[in-house]
Amino acid sequence: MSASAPTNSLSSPTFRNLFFRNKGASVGLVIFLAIVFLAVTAPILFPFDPFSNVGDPFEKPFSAFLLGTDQLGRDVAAGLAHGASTSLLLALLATLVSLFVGTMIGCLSGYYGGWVDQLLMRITEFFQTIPSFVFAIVLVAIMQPSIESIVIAIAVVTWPPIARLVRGEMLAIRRREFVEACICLGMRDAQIIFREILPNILSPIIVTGSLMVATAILIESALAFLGLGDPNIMSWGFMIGAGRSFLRDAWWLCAIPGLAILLTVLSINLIGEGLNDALNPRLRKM
Amino acid sequence: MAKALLRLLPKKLLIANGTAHFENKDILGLPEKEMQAFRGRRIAMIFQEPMSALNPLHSIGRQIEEVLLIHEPQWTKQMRLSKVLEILEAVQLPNPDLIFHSYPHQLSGGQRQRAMIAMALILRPDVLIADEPTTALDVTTQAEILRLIKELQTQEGTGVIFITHDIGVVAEIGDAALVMNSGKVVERGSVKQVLTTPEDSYTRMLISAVPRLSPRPDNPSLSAQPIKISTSSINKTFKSSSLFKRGRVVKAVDDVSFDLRSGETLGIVGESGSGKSTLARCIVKLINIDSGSIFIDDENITTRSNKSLLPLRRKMQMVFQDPYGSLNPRLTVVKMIAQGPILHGTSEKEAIEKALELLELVGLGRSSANRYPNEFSGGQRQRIGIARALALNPSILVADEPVSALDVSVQSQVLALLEKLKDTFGLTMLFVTHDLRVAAQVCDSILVMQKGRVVEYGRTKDVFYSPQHVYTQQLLDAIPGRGFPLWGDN
Repeated sequence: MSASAPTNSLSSPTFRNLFFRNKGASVGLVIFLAIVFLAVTAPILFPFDPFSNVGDPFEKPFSAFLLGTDQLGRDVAAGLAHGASTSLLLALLATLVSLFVGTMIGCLSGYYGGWVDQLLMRITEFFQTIPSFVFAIVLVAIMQPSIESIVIAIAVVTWPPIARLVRGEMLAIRRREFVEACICLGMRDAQIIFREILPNILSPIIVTGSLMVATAILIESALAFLGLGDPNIMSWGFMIGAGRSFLRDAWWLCAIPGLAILLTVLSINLIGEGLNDALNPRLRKM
Repeated sequence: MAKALLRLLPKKLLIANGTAHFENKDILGLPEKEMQAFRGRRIAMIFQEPMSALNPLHSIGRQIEEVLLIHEPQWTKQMRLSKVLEILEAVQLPNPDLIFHSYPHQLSGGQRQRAMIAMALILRPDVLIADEPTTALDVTTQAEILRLIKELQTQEGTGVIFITHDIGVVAEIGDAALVMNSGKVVERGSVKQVLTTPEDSYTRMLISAVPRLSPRPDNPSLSAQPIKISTSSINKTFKSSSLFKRGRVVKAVDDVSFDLRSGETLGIVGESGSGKSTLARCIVKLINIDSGSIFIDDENITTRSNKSLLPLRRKMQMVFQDPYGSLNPRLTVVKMIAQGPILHGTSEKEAIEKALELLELVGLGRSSANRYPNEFSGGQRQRIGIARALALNPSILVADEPVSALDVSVQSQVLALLEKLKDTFGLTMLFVTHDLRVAAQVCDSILVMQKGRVVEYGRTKDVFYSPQHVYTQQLLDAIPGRGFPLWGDN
């Protein structure tokens, strides 16, 4: 690797090389892009409500419909495509909220230390002690199932690890002398935290964030499976939940959306690992 | 090279060719099994950082005993114990019984190095290889360790290969010297010959870069200058406490007062933990003091809040010790230097133009402007740090060990740059250092600190020629190579 290449830009060739050197990451990216493509083109490929009955119930896959129909004659392929956008959108939204909250709390905690740190970390621990999925169920049940409540529930149970990660990184960078130099120059705390320190800890945040999307998809699907999804929106978890009583007669009702979840989560995890390889400065030096 | 002798190099680095003979045996060709017996018993090694060379989970006594277990399996427990205690005593560790049961983190740096030496010498090796054993230590501790190694050498008749970057230490301990430059031996001979009549240009450069120990002449015009910084009885105590633990209290700065005239350079000298860096940070208001007062240009800044400090920040800038940690790795050099002026209301265009000028002034050139800190060497990074500090046109520069992390040749260049800039900008300087040689060269007056207190404060010349306090005397005596004719001591 050439020493003169700037090491901080995401678009630099070194980043791309490192990312694609990880074969898994390349495969993950291809699968993920395919799923995104499916989600985006769902209204064109299946320009009808996925809840509408379009055929006889329990049609086998590869017969009249590509992936068959469910117990009410709804097209499974249409549900899969429309559900993809739900899952991805919810997961991304929840991850963004979670990243924002976690980063804020981690930054404040790590930068100021002292009693601020004590207080924020005790609060973080409080959230971490509650089993996260049970907590999410409770939150959605209280707030009524809807897109907002699901996003909030997922964010609430996923931010603590991010806060702890950011705090740790912040503590390490905070002690570097360049932070003192910034104070000497007369910079305000907010400038130091967000313009000077944060860019230095972006890599681990991006990596964790990408993995968190996978977690969010799982939580969302699990909630929908339990009937706590938004009742007006098609999602993979809902499809599995609705099809589970017919598992022995119509296996595809659960297997197909299940496979979709598996592939999506797997692809995101692979991408996350690739990002880690490409962004981790210690591996980069080698 | 020392590691090659002991064959401790990682597998990747194979010894290309050559032989090393020890009592007529080629040890480079020896099978690993025989080599194991060789290491420790005949040749032993001590390292720079004793903390990482010792296992933190075992007591000192147990680790030394381990050596005996491996090499003298027939010994009884009793024999091993008495031998370990004997060697702990020989390396002059206080209270060997206690040290035996202590863990590495409970000892001071000097004590750990002594324990390492004990471990290395317990089998009475014929050759001791010491890889920068005193580099991480304070000067007074360094002097003690050097004396110990010398004593043991004469007692036991051990040969010592001493690796160091410090010419002073060479003068102190060596009989013969071998100068290396990028993997090649450039000069060899007796220490006296190498240091006084060096033949190779690299050796000559190394030696001339060592700061002379003659204090800088008094500057009589200084006393007519107005007082720039005036402090009285500054106190700063650190308390490490948390909700559930009782905290430890450290008095970092204890009743310190001094006056600094415009254009003067004050050296704050002391060993690690003496509070010198804390004092510097108190002055630039990175740390708020507990009591006392600081006046800058007759203005009391002691109780200034952070907001109203902005005009003061302009006046006073700091240069830091760590050339790697003191620059933000994500910013280009020019952005970093322009940052300060932009914060203080200069237009971006002007600030960048100024930054480019400064880069030229500190000897880096405009072409380096858009590069990132990791593309520069340690000395160049220090120059960038200096440029950043000067971008605000300060009248006071606080330098916290600005050259300690640099090689001696680079060190002299950076010192020369600081001197030049001081004249150009008419800077008043607060210079924190642990190195008395550097202090002698740079400072008009010197403040010697020990455990947070000022033990001596006076003109550089007076401090060097007639130190009043015992501790100052100790520090001066501990300077390695002090007695060597080269430096024309006194």
